[in-house]
Amino acid sequence: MAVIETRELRKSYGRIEALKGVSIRVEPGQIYGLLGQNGAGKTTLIKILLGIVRKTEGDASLLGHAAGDPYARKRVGYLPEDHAFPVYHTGYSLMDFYGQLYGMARDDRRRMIPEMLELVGIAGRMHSKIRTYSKGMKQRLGIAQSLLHAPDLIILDEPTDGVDPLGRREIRELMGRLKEKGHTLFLNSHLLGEVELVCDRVAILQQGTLVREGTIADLTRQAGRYDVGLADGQAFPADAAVKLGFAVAPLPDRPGRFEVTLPAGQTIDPVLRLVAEQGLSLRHLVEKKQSLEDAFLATVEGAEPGVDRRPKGRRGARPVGGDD
Amino acid sequence: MGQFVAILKDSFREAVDGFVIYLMLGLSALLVVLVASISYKPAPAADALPKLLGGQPWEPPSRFTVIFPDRGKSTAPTGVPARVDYRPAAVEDTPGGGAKFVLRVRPHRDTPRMKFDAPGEKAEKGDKADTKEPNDDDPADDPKGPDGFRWAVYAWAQPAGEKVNNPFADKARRANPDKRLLELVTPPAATEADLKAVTDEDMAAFVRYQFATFAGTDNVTVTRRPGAAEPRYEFDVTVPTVSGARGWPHEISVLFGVFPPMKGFSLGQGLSFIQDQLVNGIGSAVALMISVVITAFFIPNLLRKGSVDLLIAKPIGRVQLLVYKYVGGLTFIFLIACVAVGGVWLATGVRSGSWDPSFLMVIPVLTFTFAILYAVSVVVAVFTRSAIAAILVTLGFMLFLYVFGKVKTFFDVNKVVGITELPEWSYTLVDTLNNVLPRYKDLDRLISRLVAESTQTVGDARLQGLLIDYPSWTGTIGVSLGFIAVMLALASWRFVKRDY
Repeated sequence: MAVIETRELRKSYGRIEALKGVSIRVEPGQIYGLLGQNGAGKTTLIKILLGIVRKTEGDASLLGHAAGDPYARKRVGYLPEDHAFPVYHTGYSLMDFYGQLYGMARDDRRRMIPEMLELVGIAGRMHSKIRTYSKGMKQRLGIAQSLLHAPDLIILDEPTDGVDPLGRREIRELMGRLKEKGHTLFLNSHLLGEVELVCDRVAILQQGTLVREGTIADLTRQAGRYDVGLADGQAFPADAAVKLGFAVAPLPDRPGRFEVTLPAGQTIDPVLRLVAEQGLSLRHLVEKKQSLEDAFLATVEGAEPGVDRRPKGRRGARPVGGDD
Repeated sequence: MGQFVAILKDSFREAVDGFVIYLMLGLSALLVVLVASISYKPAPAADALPKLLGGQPWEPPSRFTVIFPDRGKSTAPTGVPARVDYRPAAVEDTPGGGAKFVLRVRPHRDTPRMKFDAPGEKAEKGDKADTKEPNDDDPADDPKGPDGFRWAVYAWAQPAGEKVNNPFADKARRANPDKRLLELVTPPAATEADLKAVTDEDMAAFVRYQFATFAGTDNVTVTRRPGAAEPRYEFDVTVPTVSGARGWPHEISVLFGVFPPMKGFSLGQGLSFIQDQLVNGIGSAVALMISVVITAFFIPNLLRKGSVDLLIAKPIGRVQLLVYKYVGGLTFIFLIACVAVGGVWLATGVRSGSWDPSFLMVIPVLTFTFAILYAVSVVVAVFTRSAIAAILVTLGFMLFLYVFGKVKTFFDVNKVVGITELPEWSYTLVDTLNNVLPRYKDLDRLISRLVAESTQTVGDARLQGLLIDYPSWTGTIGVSLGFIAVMLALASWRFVKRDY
């Protein structure tokens, strides 16, 4: 059973389509990243899953229940983007409040709250009013509250927002530990480096449409492009390779190395045979990859950001819930 | 249940966050200290009895002349055409804080007597019997007429007659439409034999009842003294204690006796002023207005981006969330009411010995009154997400309800006494609105009634018209609850339908 599954999910705000038939599937134990420009529909998707926003069409399920079902929400921890915790609480009392809403027993709350706050590094200030917390501390508190009731699914919308580099690394490590414990994480972040480091699968939304989806390896692979290098002093038979239909170009920053691009439907094998026939020694052969950021930029390049403001003169809610 | 308690606690935290709640609690504490500084000392019997028996200076007729038929079971009073005077003599204060005196009863002088159908000699209207100063000690100077005292005792013991219009009511209602007035019942017809059949025990029982009803004194011993020629009567009266007697005149000192004591007011009047005027009147109005302002921020804060997401994502329904939050918002005024009303009740109890818990009903009723206003505030807040809009609309609604209460009273009175000509549709409109709008003003009246019952003597409360024609609790609470339910349903509908 998928932890999250959406099929042809659509959301319209009047004439504006925030989601245009998005279908994703998140399996148990995965860390799933959702990427997209501002207004791409990421937060809208999350809010539909949690029942904060109503879908227009399509299906969405969470832990086997219809999106927004209270029973499913009981098994979900959620950190919203731009959260605004009530400042009249202390860190401890807020966690206690939320714990009660999740139906946690008093003893469990007393045990878990200090543990969770310790986990995110703010246990020393748990009895201080939230209004005295820095942005980073509030973010850590937000993560702690999302973990309090040991949820099966943790949805984190920009979890490292406002957190310093050291804190980000701690959060990444925490996400890794949570995955090891069997939790499923659904991550929405602009920090592509982090997503690349922790996520198993990634989806890229563009103006409400799912434009790419797959593992990190899938998204970063540059299919059909190889970095080829021979033994020192040997010259790559570029002309012969070109005659076979391959495109060959020297790599400017790596002397003696060439980028070989396969024609459609072809493999690298003819080039390898050519090298062997000419008695040359192959020393380096790697299918070229790109960073997730490059892949993301290549995907969304040239596209207009989505709309995240209410159309002038129109009444009603904003097309999307967050800044995305 | 756990979620409800959680949100109640959260609302409580929100309510006590900030200085306003502490300012309010400080003001409440000041009020309690002020009330605690008021002392009530029973006036000496020699000073108190003339006021008690003769009525207050601005109430020339003695309250003792008012008769509640059916041995007091009738709340509508009657009178007999021949009035009597009650005078104390040989007054002594007794060591136990009581009083011992002779009660002299005699026909009333210098009052025009109206024609009536009664046994005995008929008095003539305007029969000013004497041109010379009458001699109180000379029975020969007594006005001629029936034995008013025997008739009073007889009327007291008989079942109540039919209700009649108070002939003074129309004029008084025109002067003050909001004033509630007594209804009267006709006195019983009595034959000479009926009056003669009144025994000394009946007379003593009547006097005891009058003391209990108008002085609030219990266990009064009354024995008829021989010697006085009828229609004069004398009784030996012993009041064991006047401590805590609500109708007994007291010397009331404020600010721990810094100022000279006020004299002439009964204990009940003093307590009624504090509880009804000061706390239920001024205090409640201030508390309601401040609470409207403070709590108007609760729902907009809840609906803020980043805050509402967190709560809606929890396993709790939106309607539940809103209703729980609404109930939680009532904790603000409940807390203030508990401190102010509970404190005043304790202070008055300690200083006066009056521990009637009815006044504590102000706490739930004030909270309920606020619940009406807060329901409006919640609707506005859910639709606009603006605290300012919620404050303005709610205060405007509060003013509207107050004005409408006045208008309704005027229409009710006008229907009876015809102050002015009004079109029929205006009555329909006012009645329809009254059926759907919360009974804001009626709640105030019902509390006034409770306070009157708990502070004043039964007789005084009835004389002030406080027990007559009051709205029912059921109707008042029912219509108001219906209004609250409609408001919350509207707010819930919007909250459920909206994307956040």
